[in-house]
Amino acid sequence: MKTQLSILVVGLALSVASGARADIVVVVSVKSSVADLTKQQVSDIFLGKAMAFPDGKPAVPVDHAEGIAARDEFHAKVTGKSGAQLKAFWSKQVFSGKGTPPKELPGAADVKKLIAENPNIIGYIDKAALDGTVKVVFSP
Amino acid sequence: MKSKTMVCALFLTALATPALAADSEAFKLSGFLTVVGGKVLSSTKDTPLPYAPEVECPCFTSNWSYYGIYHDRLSFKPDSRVGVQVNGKITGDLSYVIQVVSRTADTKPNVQWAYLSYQATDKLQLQIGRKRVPLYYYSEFQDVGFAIPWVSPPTELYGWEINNFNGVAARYSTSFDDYNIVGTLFRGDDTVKKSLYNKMFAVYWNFEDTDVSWKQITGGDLEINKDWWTLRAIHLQSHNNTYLRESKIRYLQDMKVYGLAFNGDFGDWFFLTELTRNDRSYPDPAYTVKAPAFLFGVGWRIGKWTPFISRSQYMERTPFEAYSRQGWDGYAAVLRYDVNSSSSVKAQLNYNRDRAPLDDFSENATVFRVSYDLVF
Repeated sequence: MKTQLSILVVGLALSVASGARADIVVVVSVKSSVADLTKQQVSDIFLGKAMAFPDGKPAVPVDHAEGIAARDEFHAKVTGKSGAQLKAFWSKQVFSGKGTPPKELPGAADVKKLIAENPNIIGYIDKAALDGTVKVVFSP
Repeated sequence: MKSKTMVCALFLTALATPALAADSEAFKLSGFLTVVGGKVLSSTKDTPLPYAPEVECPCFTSNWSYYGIYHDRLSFKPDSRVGVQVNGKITGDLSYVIQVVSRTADTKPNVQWAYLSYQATDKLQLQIGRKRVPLYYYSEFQDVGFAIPWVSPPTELYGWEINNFNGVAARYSTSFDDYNIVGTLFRGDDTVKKSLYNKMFAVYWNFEDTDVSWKQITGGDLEINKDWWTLRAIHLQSHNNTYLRESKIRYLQDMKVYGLAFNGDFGDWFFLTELTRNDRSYPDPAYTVKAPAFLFGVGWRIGKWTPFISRSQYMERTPFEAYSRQGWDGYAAVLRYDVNSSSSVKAQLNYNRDRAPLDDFSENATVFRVSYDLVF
């Protein structure tokens, strides 16, 4: 009885621990014709250096709001910029008229829904939230 | 007038909560604020500037474009500024940018950007309107304190009579392999009336108010970026003139500018190098003044702290002996602290050494400045 309980407790603890680390994947709509992208290609889209996918179709990136773990993880793994560096980069771009940062959405569910409905949009979500409406184009 | 504008701008800043700064589809409001307080700690000069006797020294000109000068008492006037920008989308391919900056050093706000942009293809953008002259690496965003490592970029390279042009530009951006390439071509002109820059040389201009024009500015720049490095090259030419408003005399000059910047960012440390040259040719008597300048800087990112040091130099050269050459050695040490991801505080020490061979201009000075930078 006690052993079963302790296994259960350990199991719960492990699942909680792995859930706290957002394993993010970069996704597009299943309706999109885009296949795999490299880290550089994804980074270029999110930093406004590329406005189209490799096949020439428009690429519109969508970010999570500041303070959300998935956002920090995405930028650490893909664009390589910390929060302050990202803000300094976009300040330079915005105030020299060269571009605007990706649209930010407050909730993970909003992000996935927007991506699923619009084949031009690219974003990132928690691996655990994957379903039949979106497909993975890059896994950091 | 000046304080009203500043109050209006600050009020707008206060209103711009994150909710406001977030966009609707058509319209996005954003901006930046930099408040700088500074003073000259020590100087070898205690007499007025030779070419501008109304400027008492100890003195340090930190903001040449707007006659922003520090003395040996704390001042917030030379460098403080606030900018407000509107980004608008008219159709999918047509958008506009308007940016207005208000400074404590100037009586009226200046329009820095006011242009229409047409995305002709996914790589080519055509622009018409008012833009900043993309002179050197930081020129287009040198007012945005949050985006630069110093309180303001070195005066040996940055700070001229004209900062903007009204005209046209084309911007082409592409990438292949891991290279990102952006090239621009531009053409335009601008006139600044009652030039603040020229007040530094009031004696030359008979103590009159002057209008400065850069006309038929024609140039292009190219920026290549891969991984950790960025290379930028610029060349532009223009026909300039200075017009004395009372005597109604116009002095002509031709200008050629060259610039090369090579920067590296390794995440926890970064470096900046810039080599520039600003050549001015005069018709009568006919002579040319070449003004090469350079800048080297290194910074480290340690948590929320970014210490940064830089060395810069400006040295005029000309065979014309009657011309009073100017030269400067600049040394800067900055410590920046990122309060959060939208604001920072910096403390900067500058040592400025006067290298003017004929007459010392403002002699040597050590200046300390503290800034608060915000973007919204």
